[in-house]
Parts: sequence; structure tokens; C-alpha cells
Amino acid sequence: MMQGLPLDLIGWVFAVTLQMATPLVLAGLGGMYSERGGVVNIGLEGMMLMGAFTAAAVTYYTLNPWLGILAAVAAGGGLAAVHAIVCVKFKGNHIVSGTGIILFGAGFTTLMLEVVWHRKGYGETITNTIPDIVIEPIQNIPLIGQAFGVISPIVIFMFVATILSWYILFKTPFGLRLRAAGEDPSTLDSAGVSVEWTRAIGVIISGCLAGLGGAYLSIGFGSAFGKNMTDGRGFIALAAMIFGNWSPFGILIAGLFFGFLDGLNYAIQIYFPALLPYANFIAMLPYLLVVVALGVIRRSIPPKGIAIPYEKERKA
Amino acid sequence: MASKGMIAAIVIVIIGVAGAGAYLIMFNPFGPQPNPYTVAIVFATGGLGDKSFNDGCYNGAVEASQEFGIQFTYSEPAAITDYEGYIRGYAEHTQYIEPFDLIISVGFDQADALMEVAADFPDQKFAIVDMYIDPTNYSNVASLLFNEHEGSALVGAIAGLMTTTDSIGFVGGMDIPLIHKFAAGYVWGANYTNPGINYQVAYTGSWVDTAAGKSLADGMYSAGVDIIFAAAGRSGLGVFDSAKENNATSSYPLWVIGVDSPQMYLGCADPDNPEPPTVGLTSMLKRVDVAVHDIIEDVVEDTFSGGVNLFTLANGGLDYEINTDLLTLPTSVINAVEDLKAAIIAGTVTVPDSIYWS
Amino acid sequence: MNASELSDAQKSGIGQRIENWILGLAKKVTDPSYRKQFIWSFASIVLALLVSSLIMLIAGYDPGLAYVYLAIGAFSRMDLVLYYATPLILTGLSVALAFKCGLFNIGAEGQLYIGSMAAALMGYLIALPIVIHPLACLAIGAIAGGLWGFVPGLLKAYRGAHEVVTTMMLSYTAILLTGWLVSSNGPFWDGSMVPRTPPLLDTALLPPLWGYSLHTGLILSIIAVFAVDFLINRTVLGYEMRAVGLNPDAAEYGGINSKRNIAIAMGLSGGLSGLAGSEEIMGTYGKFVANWSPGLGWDGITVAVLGNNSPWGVLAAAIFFGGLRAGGNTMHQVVGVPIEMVSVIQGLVVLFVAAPRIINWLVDNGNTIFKSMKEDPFEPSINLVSSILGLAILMLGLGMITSLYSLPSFTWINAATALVYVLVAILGVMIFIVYWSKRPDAGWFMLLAAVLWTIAGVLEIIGAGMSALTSFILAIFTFVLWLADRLIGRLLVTKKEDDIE
Repeated sequence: MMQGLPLDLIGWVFAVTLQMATPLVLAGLGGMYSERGGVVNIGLEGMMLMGAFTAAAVTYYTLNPWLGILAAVAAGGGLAAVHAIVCVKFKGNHIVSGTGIILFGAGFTTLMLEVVWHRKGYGETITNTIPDIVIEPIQNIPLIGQAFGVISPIVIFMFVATILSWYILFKTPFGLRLRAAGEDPSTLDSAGVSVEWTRAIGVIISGCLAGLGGAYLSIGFGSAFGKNMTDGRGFIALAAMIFGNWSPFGILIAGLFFGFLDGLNYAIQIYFPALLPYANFIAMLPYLLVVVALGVIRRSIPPKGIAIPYEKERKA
Repeated sequence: MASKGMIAAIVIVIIGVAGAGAYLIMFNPFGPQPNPYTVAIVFATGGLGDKSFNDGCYNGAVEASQEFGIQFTYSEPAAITDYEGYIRGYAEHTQYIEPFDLIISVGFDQADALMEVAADFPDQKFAIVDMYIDPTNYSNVASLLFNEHEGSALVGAIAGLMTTTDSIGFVGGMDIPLIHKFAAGYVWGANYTNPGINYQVAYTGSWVDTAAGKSLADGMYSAGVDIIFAAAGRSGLGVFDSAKENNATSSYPLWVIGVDSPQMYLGCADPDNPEPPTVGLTSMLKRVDVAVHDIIEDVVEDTFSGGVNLFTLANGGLDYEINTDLLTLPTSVINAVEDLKAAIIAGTVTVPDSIYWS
Repeated sequence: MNASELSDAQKSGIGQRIENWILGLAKKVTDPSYRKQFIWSFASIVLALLVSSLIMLIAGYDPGLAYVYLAIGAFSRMDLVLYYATPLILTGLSVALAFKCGLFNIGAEGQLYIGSMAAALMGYLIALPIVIHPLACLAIGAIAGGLWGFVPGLLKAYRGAHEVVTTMMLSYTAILLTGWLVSSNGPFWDGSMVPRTPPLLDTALLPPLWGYSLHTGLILSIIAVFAVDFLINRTVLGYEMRAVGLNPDAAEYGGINSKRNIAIAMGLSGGLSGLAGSEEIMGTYGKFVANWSPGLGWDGITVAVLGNNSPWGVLAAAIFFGGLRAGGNTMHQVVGVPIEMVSVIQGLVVLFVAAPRIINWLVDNGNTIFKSMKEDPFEPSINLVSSILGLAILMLGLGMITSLYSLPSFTWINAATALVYVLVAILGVMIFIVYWSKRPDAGWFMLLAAVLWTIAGVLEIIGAGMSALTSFILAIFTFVLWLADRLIGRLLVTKKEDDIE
């Protein structure tokens, strides 16, 4: 029953890898900005949903997907700002606040879905989605042609964002401050930089990126908003961030790895039907691999000052 | 002392809340009122918006309400544990004076909850879609059942005739026996009209993950499949996305077969203003709308009886979609499918209802 | 309580204990910090309901009617409330116990599945006499769930693998594994159209308690609350866990084996989740069905954080969530508000609980305003009126957006108007904040609001909207308030200058 060339198969797996990895990497990078600054952000799922919904709704009204993207980034950032206010300004518990963000995001988007499209569960199809970029020269090259020949700008942005994040985090004053806010806030404070603002900006960036990741699902790769359409990807992004050791390229690799295992799972289902009865085990494999990898290979070391609200008074 | 005052305040608040609660229970200021509704529907946990199963029931109820001038109400449970509460809530009809004429449960997993409630309210009429409840013990429950494999065989037959690559695909929501029924009929039907055809079967593992449905379909199309039968709830909508995108670059036409409701319009560039061309080849129609409409009609005309109402090809409960506004299938294909349909109805051929290959 | 009773109680050890416990509880309740906690929680709920009603208004539902039926639903079906609370108590305890040891067990869902699967197998494969059978099922369920939690605990303790990742990954693994076991390819499938096991033997089922759905699991859950409370607060193990949770290095320095404690805490946490799953299977479902859990493990996280990770707090939070679920069902059934509204309310409650200082800030500033009102009524009343106006602007701004998207066709003018209203709504919040905290530069926000309302009014006229008049009236009103603010400011300054002279 194997019809397609193995080369085609590999190319397709690459394509799925990119598609599945993009929301994970974007949200994971977002999580990194927040956690590097010392604020735990388990609310990524809620922010992604918010982004996915806003992107679809704004595109639906304005027929312009770029406005949709913009709005999604703003909406994700807005929800993250709530997280920042609660965690940084009012020194709330980060995990509690994040849980609230998830619940609120999931409920609110489903509720508004009905308001915008006057129907339940699934919005109308968006016809003006983000157009894919066709790169003619490499379209017919085997292996990479399928994955990179027709590519969504958001996927390209994922790579750009990774490099940019690395640059920002390790080569700019802001990155230094952000890392200091997460590792050793009192030093940052004595240097005369506001720990609160640095952390808040980190959290808001995280929401913007998560919102973009959500937008990719609703108007980049998909073409409508459905309730709970992120299907737990915010949590996987969190895992990718930890698996990638809070570093941009680590997150990229972790995200691509998760995406690749998704692709592999689909490929095995399609090309090796004899294994179909054991599809669950194949789907299980990536999760177990991650556990083994974390258990055997290396320790995960979060930023030191994480989840500890910074109190100015505590400075001796 | 301040703390005593505080305790007093807390006690007052507690008493106040409890009192308000007791008041609401005993003198419910909002009811009971005359019941404006004839029918109550409890949907399956996926909720409305799946564009197939739940929506089909909803459409049937809307049709019936317009035809018979009645009103219906519904609820969308979030979890299996909520079913009994909702069904019982309707059966008790505390906020209304009159009971509902009919309570419809949608989905196989409501059976246990429905049996519990039906035993407590023997005078209340119930119907359940997609599950068999023994009428000897529960004479007040009508079971609305479908031979999905028969309908799937018809669309399989169309796929077998329409394929240009001799390779067809099936994307299911979950790897469960209920979905195997669809897969079995489909593959059998394709083999009936095109013996030895290649087929691929895969499952998204989720009813809501459109992205997974799209990725799987991408893979199947790139593997040479040109027709995919998507029986995966909302995940199936991703298959339509995939077909539309891949069709642009494919040298041969790619098709999708919808499920449950007429879904050919989803294959158009703008599904809200459906115009040809469409990638929707046909849809396997599981007429839950007809079933719901008919059972409401039975209640309105007072001919309701418990027990099995089986919907088959013969009584129009299953069918395949023909939408000539969007796409006209070749007459030879229609003839072949009609022949198969006649043969299934006559009983000269039998469609398997579970995976018969390995 | 008189003296003779007291001496009686002293005679019997158990009586003494109960007595001490009640006295301790009374002490706790009267303790100022607990009272503060109570007030915070209560205020959080009120605030969350207020914001939720705003959202309901935007979505076009009647919040008053919705809340009435929420209350009716919750109070008239107490059995349903407790029924929903039963598993949440246990998963909440599970997450809370891990938190006490500084661990975030995000994978309670998976431990729940494994536990329920084990209990279901014990329940239908092995015949045992009554009483022993359910106990055996619960035990095996707890052990299985415990093992599923113990593994990430070990990995965390000895290999430094982050528990958030490992428990979550094992959670997905558990769902897939149990799904396969009962699928048509797996060994425990009952042959029906649905992936599930055959029904449990009657001896293994938990007997019903009262009402339609409540089962004896509730008693078990409450016993677990006592047990976990005892474990955390009265035992050496509990003390060590808390010490590790506060600071693992310091605990290690103090001679506590933090690795051992981490592993044990995760094991116990998993066990509690496994127990929750077993209870549901034996009390409610009667068989294991693939993907049966509606996210009980995830809800456990919310319940734990809402209950501040204390066992009694978890109990209260679980019952509160049960009430929201039961009431929410009635609200959905009668008023037609989507069930997701409950999730919005839950989210907001949790958000407000996360930051008790929000409530402090509201109360403190409110106090200052009202106090200074007695001395000099002019300035604080401007602050008060302006704060309230800020909230009104927020609501009106949001309301205007609602009126816009009900318009038949989309135009760029309408989009711009909507954007202005969004800004206005945000500004409304800002106005509330600056006036409530009596910031000196507050006036400029009011002027900005007046300008924005004017722009909105103009846009409404161009775009043939329906609320141009409202916008202009509000613009004038905010402008007048700004003037008043300035004027009074000017007057005060001159008055002070006069005083100096």
C-alpha cells in the first residue's frame, strides 16, 4: 500500500514538523521571556486561545488577516498584562494567577465565539487567511521542497523570533536586565532599574508571542476558530520551554522535536497500516522519550528568582 | 471587642446566605410558569458546532418546530457526569407547571444516565439517538439507531468510481468501534465498485483538533490518495482545508467526502456563499435530523411508542449527498451507486459493520 | 461547656483529642489572619461576579436572572454540589500536597486515569465479598496512581527532571495507554461500540448516599481531608515536606533528606489522584470508559490554589466549584447562558484570589477617600465621582462595542469607532485607578476621555451609528468633571497661598 516515494514521505513529515512546531515554539519563547524575568507563566494556553479567537474575529470583520495578527498579538499581550498586574504589581501567586488566566481565556473565547458568529462551538470559515509564501526555486527540491517551498510567514517568523530572542536575551541591555530580574532582582534594583517594569514587560512579550502562536492556529494554518482549538498546546509549549532549558535555541529544538514526533505519528498511521492497532503506543512514544531524556540526560535548572515576588522593602 | 463583632458579622452573612437560599427554594419567585416548550434536547458533550452530529439533531428540531408550531429548549453538557442532572432537570420540570412532551438524549454515552431517569419517570417520553435501550424494561424510551455502514458503503462506492489514483483514504476521529462502522462500510463500498483499490485509514485521536485533521489529510494526499472520507467531528473540517489547499497544486482533482450532515458546501472557497467549484465530492448523510424530526412528529401526533426506530437506506435515514448546484456526478456513477443502494435495501448484499481486514 | 464535661473529656483520650481539635479550630477561625483570608476570598468572589456580569452584558445575557438561577441550582441540589465536589476534593488535595513540598503536580489527570483503570480491573476481573471488594479496588487504584506519581518524584529527586514536564508527559501517556487497553485492539474491551471495560461487579460499587448521584465516595474524600491535614500538620513527615517546600537547601542543611521527601510527596500526591479516579469509576460510571474524565485533574490544580493549598481550604474550594457546576447547569438549562460562563467566573475568582492585595488596595484607598470626606468634602467627592464615572465609562465603552457588531455591514469607520471604544474602556479603568488612588495627575486622563468620547461621537455620525448622542453627552460630562477638578485644584492652591499670607 506504499505508493508515495519515501522521499515524499520524509518531506511531508518535515512539513508537519514545521506546522505543528510553530505554535509551540512561539508560545514557548513567550514563556521564556516571562520565566527568564522571574514570573511563572502557566497561562500560555489561555493567551493562545485569546490570540486565536481575536485573530479570527478581527479578520472576519475586517477581511484583513494582518490586522487580525496585530489584534491577536495585542489581545495575548493584554491578557498577559492582567497576569503581570496580578503577579508583579500586586505580588500575587504566579501559578494561581496563571490558572485563572487559562480558565478565563477558555471560557471567554467560547462565549464570545457565539457573540461574533452567532453560532456555537465553531466559527465561520475565514476566507482571507494569512497567505502562504511560495518560494519557486526550492519548491521542487526533494526533502525540503514540501516543507519550505510553500511556507507561512508565521513559520518564517518563528525562526526569526528565535534568533531575535537569542540576540535580545544575551546581547542587549534589556536582555541582561530581564535575566537579572529573574536571577537576582536585588542587584538589578540597586543598579537603579525597576524590577517591576522589567518583569512586566517580559510577561507582556510572552503574551504577545503566545497570542501569535494562537493566531497561527486559527488564521495561519487553519481557517476558523473553534472552541478550545489549542487542545492543550499551551501546556506542551510550557514543556518545550523547560525541555529547551529556558534558552531560545533549546526551545526551537524542543518544539521542532515535538512537531516531528507528531509528524512521525501521522506518517506511521498512513504508511504502516499494520501498526494502526498500536497507534496509541506510537503517540505515547514522544511523551515517554521526553521523560527519559529529562531523567537520564540533564537536569532542568529554572531561573533562581522564579515565582518569588520582589519586594523592594526586602532590600537590606 | 472587634473580633466578636467580626464573628457576629460572619454569622450574619452565613445566616443571610442560607436564608436567601432557603427562600429561593421554597418561594421560587420566578416560577413555576407555564411550560412554553414541547421538547427538550440534551446534546452530546461535543456540543453544537460540530457541523455534523449535534448540529444535525438541532436542525431536525428546528425543522419540526417550524412545521408543527412548537418550541424546544436544549442544553449542552460539558461532561458525561452532567448528563443525568440535565435529563433529570427536564424530567422534573421544576420551573414549569407542565412537563415536557419529549426529552431527547443525543449520543451513545447518555444511555446509563437516561436509563436511571427513565426508570424514575415512567410517564415521561424519552428518545435517545445512537444507542439501543431495551424497550421491555424501558417502554417509555425510543431508541433511534442508524446503519451507518450502509451509508458509508454508498460513498465508498462513489469514491471507488471517482478516484483517479486508485487510492482512497479515511480519517476518523477516534480509533473506536463506532467509527470502525464508518470505515468498514466505506472500504467495502470502494472495493465493491473498484476491487483491489488501495486504501489508507488513520485517526486524529481528537474530535476537536482541526490542525491534526489537516496534517493527516496533507499526508494522505501527498501519498497519492485523492479522496478522503472525513468522519472526525470538528477535526474533519481540517480535511476540507487541506483538500482546498492541495488542490491548487495537484495535477489531479482532490476530493473530500463529508459526514452526517450535507457538507459539500464546506468544500467551496467561501462556504457562506457556496458556489462551485467545491472539493466536496459528496457526504454520507446520517439523517439524525430526519430521526429527530420524525420522533417529534410522533409525539405531536400522539403516535409515539418506545423501542427501536432503525434508520436505514430503505427508510431514508441514511443517504448520500447530491448537490447539483455545486457538483454533478457522472450518470454512470449515480447509476452504479443507485444499483448498490437497491441491492443493499433488497438484502442481496450485506455490508460489514466492523473492520474486516487486518 | 462546664467544668464537669471538661474533666470527662480529659479522662477519655479520644474525647480530649476531639475537644482540642474543636478548640483549635475555634482558635483558627477567630485568628485575624484566617479572618482576613475569609474576607479576601469572599471579596474575590463578589468582584469576580461583578466582572462576570459585565462580560455577560457584553455577550447579551441577563446577569441578574443568570445569578438567581445559579443560586437556585446550587442551593436546591446540594446533593449534586457535593457529588461534583467529591472527586475535586481528592484531586485538589493531591495537587495541594505536592505544592506543600514545593512541587507542581500538573499531571494529576494521568494519575487519575491510571488509578481508575486499576480499580476498574480489580472491580470486574476479581470476585471478592462486599466491603472488602471496594476497599481492595480503592487500594489498588491509589497504589497505581501513586506509582504513576512516584516515578516523576524519583526523577525529580535524583535526576533533577522538572516535575511539570514529566508529570504532564506521563499524564498524556496514561490517557493513551488506558485508551488502548479498553479499545477494540486492547485486552479489556467489552465488545460494544464504545471503548470501555465490562461493568464492575455489583460488590465493587460504592453504595449511594442520598439524592440521585451522591455516593459514599464523599465520605472517603472527607476522611482524606482529615488524613492529609493530619499528615501535613501533625507528623514528622509532614513537617519535613513543608520544610523542603519552603527551602530544600535549608532543609537539607537541617538534616532532612529532601530527595526522599520529594519522592514520597509525589507518590502520595499520585495516590490521592488515583483514589479520586477509582472513586468516580466505582461510584458514578460503573465501568472504565476511555477519556472519561472531564478534566478533574486539571480542575484539581484550580481547587488547590483557590484553597491556598490547605486541606480545609481545598474542601471549601471544591464545594464552591461543585456549587458553580451544579448552579451553572441550572443557569444554562433555564436562562440559556452557555456553560462556559462558569469557567469565566472560576477564572476570575482565581485571578482575584491570586492577588489579595488588589482587595487591600481597593479597601485602603476607599477608606482614605471616605475619611478625608469628613474633613473636606469637595476634593474627595470629585475623586469618588470620577472613579465611579471611570467604571461607567468602562461599561458604556464595552456596551457601545456590542452595539457596533450587531450592525449589518462592516465599514472601516465602524472599525475605527470600535477601536476608539476599546481605548475608551481601557481609559475608564485607568481613570478609576488614578482617581481611586488619588494620583495628582489624574485630571489629564479625564480630559483625554472627553476628547476620545468626542472623536467617538464624530465617528458615530459619519458611520451612521446609533449612539452619537450618548458619546457627546459623555464627552461634555467628562469635560465638566475635568474643569471642576482643575477649578478646585486652582481654588485649593489659592486658598493655601492665602493661608500662607
